[in-house]
Formats: sequence, structure tokens, C-alpha cells
Amino acid sequence: MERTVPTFNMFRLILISMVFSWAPAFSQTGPSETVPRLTRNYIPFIIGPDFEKSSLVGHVYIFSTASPEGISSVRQKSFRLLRDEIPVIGMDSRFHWIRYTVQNSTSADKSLIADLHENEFDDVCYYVLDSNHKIIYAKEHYAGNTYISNKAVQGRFFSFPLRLKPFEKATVYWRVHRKESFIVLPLGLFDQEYFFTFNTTYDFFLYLSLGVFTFIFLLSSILYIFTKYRLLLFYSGYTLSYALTIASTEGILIQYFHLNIPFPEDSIKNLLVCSLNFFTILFAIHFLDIRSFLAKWVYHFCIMQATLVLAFGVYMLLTPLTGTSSVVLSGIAMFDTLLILTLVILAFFHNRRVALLYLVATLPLFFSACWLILTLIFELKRTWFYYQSFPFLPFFEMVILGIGLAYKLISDRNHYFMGLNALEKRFTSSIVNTQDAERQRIAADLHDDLGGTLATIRRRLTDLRFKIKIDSVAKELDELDPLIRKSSDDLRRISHNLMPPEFERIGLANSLRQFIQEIPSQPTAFQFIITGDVDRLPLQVELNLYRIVSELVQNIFKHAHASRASVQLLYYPDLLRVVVEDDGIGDKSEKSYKIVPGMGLKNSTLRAEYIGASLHRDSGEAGTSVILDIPYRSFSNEPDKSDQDTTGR
Amino acid sequence: MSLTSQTRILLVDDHHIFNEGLKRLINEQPDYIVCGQVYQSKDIFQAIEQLRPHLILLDINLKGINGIDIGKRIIKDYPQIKVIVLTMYNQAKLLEESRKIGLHGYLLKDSTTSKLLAGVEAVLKGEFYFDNAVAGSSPTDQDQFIDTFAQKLNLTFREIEIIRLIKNGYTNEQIADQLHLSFFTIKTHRKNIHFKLGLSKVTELIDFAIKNGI
Repeated sequence: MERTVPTFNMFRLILISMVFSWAPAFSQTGPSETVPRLTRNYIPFIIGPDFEKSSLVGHVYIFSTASPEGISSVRQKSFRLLRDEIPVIGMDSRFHWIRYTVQNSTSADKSLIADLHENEFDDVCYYVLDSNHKIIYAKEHYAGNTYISNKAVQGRFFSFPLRLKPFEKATVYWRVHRKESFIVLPLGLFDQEYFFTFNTTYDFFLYLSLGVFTFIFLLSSILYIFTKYRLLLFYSGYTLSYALTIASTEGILIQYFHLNIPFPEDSIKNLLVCSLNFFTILFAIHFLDIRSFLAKWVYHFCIMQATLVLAFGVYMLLTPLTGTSSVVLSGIAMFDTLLILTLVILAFFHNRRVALLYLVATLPLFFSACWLILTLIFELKRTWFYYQSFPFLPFFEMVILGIGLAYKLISDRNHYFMGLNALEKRFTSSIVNTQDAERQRIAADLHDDLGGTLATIRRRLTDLRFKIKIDSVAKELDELDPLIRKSSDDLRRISHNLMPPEFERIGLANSLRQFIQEIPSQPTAFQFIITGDVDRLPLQVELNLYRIVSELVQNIFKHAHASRASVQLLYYPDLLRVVVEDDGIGDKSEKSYKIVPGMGLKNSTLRAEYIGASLHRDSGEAGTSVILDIPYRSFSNEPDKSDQDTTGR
Repeated sequence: MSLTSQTRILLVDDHHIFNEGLKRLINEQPDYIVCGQVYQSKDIFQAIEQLRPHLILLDINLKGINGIDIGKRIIKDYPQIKVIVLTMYNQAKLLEESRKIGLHGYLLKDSTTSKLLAGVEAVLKGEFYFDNAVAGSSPTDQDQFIDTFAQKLNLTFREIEIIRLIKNGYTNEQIADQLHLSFFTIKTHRKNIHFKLGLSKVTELIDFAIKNGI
């Protein structure tokens, strides 16, 4: 983009407004009183044959006065040279007279445009005097809200024609006045043709960037409606504030929309600046997610601060603009910038990527603002280049932040799913653990209590039997014994299935071996094989494996109609593989045991998932294979939280 | 020793009915007398100090502590006292462990009176008595494994089938088709077979199959 406008309110205020609040202090040293710089020897600007544009540095002189004098008396006063490319006058409500002399060094007519690329003036007058101090062109009392159609040169800023005959010399006088606000003078002189080409190009990019902003605004608003993701709302507000601020600074709102708002334009701009600040804070604190690493009161403080800024904007809208309120706004803006900067630095230690993104997005604006301060403090020269970047820094920022937002949306979504997974895992683990605890309690009650009582009954019956001499009664008692024996065996089997006694002590391999050995060899003969170096796994893992295998085995026993089956534990160097197989009816049995004890398989899947094992079930006409792989690494890094509540005493 | 010639027996079991029934049974025997009954593990050592039993019948399932661990402490602190584990737990591993740490016997609670008394008697004579009814503690329990050949090689019926098919030149896909199992399952089986037999090549596996007549 070529030369663009110094649109001050457009950038992110803070530092900028801060600068403005300081500006009067610096600029007031200057105006007209200082003698050494005063001069009557004005150097004319020479127009050559190839002239296109100039910022007229070294040719612009100023004279400031509080009295509304006319051109005839002012032109005799001593003017002071303005050395800067973009002179900053500061907050100075006097009348500022600007003069520069232009000489056509060619033998052709020159149609030029004298331009003041700033629309925030309350009153602008323009005069052209020939070498005899005769006014040959004058336009008076233009203001920021003068309609385009009423302007001498149609444009959003103050542009006037300057026509020079061959070798003619003329002096241009500007009188600018602005109440209660800062004054910047981005003056320029253009070849007419160049000026119109330039403006078309500039507008093209300006509207393009506004279009993009509008698009982003609409898109994020719509996305917000569907996702209810609050950051999107702040982002759309942020974008809208930027777009409106730019539109207002560029004079688009006032020039093209002719809004009939009963408020001064400056007040509206201030309100926009405040709302921009409001959204900046809201967006920043949510984007950086400060709630995740800072105390709650910090978050609430930021919200309060943002609300305060917005409230102040409304206050500024409703009350007449004064220098004091401008300074207060600058102070607030400065404070907010420092606040956000501090938050970014803090965020950097917690979520590096997001903080970095935010920093990258805002740094250009930040540095520009810092540089502006430096130019004020150390009187460095300010150039057009500095201004050229401004309209596009917000654009850069919003695009980078948009990318950041997308990144955050995606990563938050992942976090959300991860959270959901963790929740699900906790849920699973609570199901599994509750089940285990319950089983253990029932097993203990059955086995230890009822078992002990049954054993006592049996022994006393046996003793009784030997005391009885009546054969028929003795015989009946003999018949009773196998019944008691069976009930005691059943009891033991049931309770073992629920929870093998002393499991922690005995371990998975031995518990399973015993479990398989106790299964009757009819109808299915079970084979039990252990290969590799038996290694104890965390108790939780072993217990769940035991339950999975015992459920599989019971399913085979009850439903598979298999003649042969096997259970294997293969202790590989990196994983434990459990293989349970049968030569039964496979999938045909599935229907039958899905309906009735289907809980078994579902439970097995749940338990396998809980201990991080992969369960592969393969069923065909010739039987079923279940392969369970438990990689050691899945629990090696999380030490067994030996859940005492679910295991042996 | 005490004035009487009776053997003093201490019962340790938190199951009241069983504890009482056992006391009754033992006291019926002329040579034995129950010198005390302990229902909680924390009372054991005080009871031993006061009652000086000759033999302790000790349950494994005691609240808060494992009976085998208590038995280990008893025979260490009181080497003259005989300790027999009397438990509902029909577990070979626990029997083995008791034997290993030097306890004198392992009896099941649901064994008959005569077996119980025989065990006590044997231990008092200085022998060890471990109930061979405990599942898996005797080699006879192994005979329910019908396929002894496969068992010897640590191979399952399915693995033998697969080795046979490999020997006959079947590919994984063909084996999967034949056995109505998935390719993944067959691949896993082959890995397992190689792991078990310590083989790395197919030719080695075929040699193995031929040598063992699979």
C-alpha cells in the first residue's frame, strides 16, 4: 500500500492515547514564541516535470494564534519551520496557520492537489496567494462533517486544488482549528492525476480490509450462535469495534452514511475506542484463559475494568469533550495496555503457545506505539512509513488472532474430549471398583462365614452319625453328607468366582491355574498354559484380568458346547498376552449368551478398557478366540495405586 | 509343661460358630484340651504368653492380617509351638507357602473330624501334615488335562492344528479360512507358537512338527 492516512484513533489506543496525553507537554514548548526558529526566509518547494507527490518536509511553516485574525494580517507574521514529516501539534485549541510556497519550474501548467490527510478538524480554511500576496483561491470553514458533494475536491479528507501556470510561484495557507483534541498535520502535495489514482488504490484496500473485517464479524457471530463459544462473541465484538473505529477515523461513517446522530463525531470515536478497549480486554483474558492459572479476583477485576472503560465511553459520548476526559481516557487506555501486557507475560509461563500467538498478533501495533513514544521523547523524526502501516496493523492482528482462535477452538475441543474421556474412564473405574468391592464383600461373607458354619455342621453331623447306633438313621445321615459336601463345594466355587481368596498373595497366574483346575472336565476339557517369565502386574490389572478370563471361561463352559478349550498366559518381554479359545459353536452361541449373561462380555470389554488392554474377539464356526494384550508400559509409568478397598485383606 | 499330660491347643479363628464347634470337638478328645480361643489377631500373642499352648490351630482369614504371616512370627518367637493352618482356603499356593516358611500343617476346615484329628496327631508327633485334598497340591489333579502331549509341549489344540496346516504348506489366509478365524488371530497364534517354542523361522517350525509327528 502506498502512502496512507495517519489515523490515530485507529490503533490500539493505549500507548497511543498515552502518547497523546503527553503530547501537549512536548508540543507546547514549540508553538510560536521561540525566536530562533522564526523566519521570513521561506524556502519554496520546486515542482519539477516528473512531480508526483511530496510531504513537503522543510517547506512547511507554522504560526499559531489565539485570535481569529484574517489572512492579510497573518501572512505578515513570522512563521516557524516544521521539521517533521508528520508534524504533531498536540492539544492546542488555537488557530494554526500553515504556509508553504510552491514554484512550478516547468514550462507546462501544473494541476496539483494540496492535501491534509486528516478529517478531524472543526474548522479548516484554505487560501492560495500569488507572488503578489493576492488571494487567487480561497475555501473557508470546512469541517470533518462537510459533505463530500460540497467539497472542492471530493474525498474524505481536506483536499484542495492548486493550479500553477508555467514558472508560477504561489503560497498556500491553511488555517486549522480543533477544540479540545489533538492535532496532527499529515500534509501532502500531489500531482492531480497521481492523487486520484492513489486514492482509488487506497480506497480499494481500505474497503477490502473493512470487508474482511465484516466477513470475520459475521462469521464469528454465526459460529457463536451455533457453538455458544464465548470467545467467538468477544472476537466478533473485537472485529466490529475495529471496523467501526477505522470506518469512523477514515471518515466513512460521517461522509457516506450521513448518520443523523445527535452526538459530536469525536465523542462517537471515543466511544468506539472505549468499546474496542472493552473487547480487547474481554478477548485477551478469555483467549489467554487467565482463569486457569490466576486467582478468580484477577479475572473479575479485568471484567470490571473492561466494563468501566465502556461506561467511561458512554460518559464521554454524553458529555462535551474536554481535555481532561481525553487525558483520563488515555490514562485508562495506558493502564489497560499494561494490564494486558502483564497478563500475556504471566500467561507465557502457563500456556506458551497461546501467549506467543497473542504477542505476535499484537506486537506490531505495540512496537509502533512504542516507537511513537520514542519519537516524542527523543524528538526522533516521524515518517510517512510509520503511518502507512497503521490501518493494516489491526488487520494483521485480527487475522493472526483469528488463526489463534481457530487453533484454540480445536485444542479446546480436544481438551473437552479428553476431559470427557477422563470422565468416562473415571466412570468406568468407579463401576469396576464398586463391582469389585461388592463382589469381595459377598465372597467374604459367603466363603468365610457361611463356609465356616457349613463346615461345622458337616463335622458335627459326621460325629453324630458315629454316635447313632440305629442303622436306618445312620444311613439317612450318610445320605445327607454328600449334600452338605456339595453345598460347601458350590459355596466355595461361587465365592471363588466372585473373588478368589488371598488373590493379592497368590497372584494372577496361580489363581487362574487353580480356577481352571477346579472346573469339571465335562463337557469342556480346559487346558491352562503359562509361557515366559511370570511377572506380577499391578493388583488392579491382575484382578481385572482374572475377572475377564473367568467370565470368558464361564461363558465357554455354559454356552459354547465346546469339547476343548484353553487359557494361556504368554508373558512376552513387553506385554502380557492372554488367549482364551474353544472349539465350540462360536457365533451361533452368541445370540444365546448375548441375551442372558451378555453382561459378561460387556463387562469384559469394560474391564479391558479400564486396564488399558486391547481385546480382540474372533468367532467362527470352528470356535472362538479371544486375544487380550496388556502392554506393560500402560501402567509402568503410573505406580499401582493398590486399591486396598477392592482386594484381599 | 503343665501338670496334666493333655496337649494344650489354642484356637485362632474369628468365625465364632466354627471356633466353638472346634472347641467342642477337641475337648471331646481325652488327650487334648482347648486352652483358649482367640477371635482377633491382636489378641494372639497375649494369649500365647498367658496360656502357653503346645499347638495352635490358625485361620488364614483374620481381620487386618494374614494368618500365614502370623504363623511365621509365632514359629520364630516360639519355636517349640506347633502351628497348623486351618482354613477354608483350598489353595495350593497358600499350602505351598505355609510349607515353605516352616508351618507344621495345612488343613481344610471342611475336612472330616478324623482327618483333622489325624493331622493334629501327626504334627504333635513331630511330622508335617499337609492336606492332599487341596486342589492342585497333588499330581493327581493334573490328569484332567486330556491332551498330555500338547500339555507337555505347552501347545493348545488350536496351535497344534495351525502347526499342522503350516506344515502342509497353508498360508495364513488359507489357515484363517480353514479355521474360520481372522487373519489377525492366526498371525497372533503363529507369533505365540514361535515365542513358546523359541523358534524364529518357519522351516524350524516345520522341522519341529515333523520331529514331533504333528
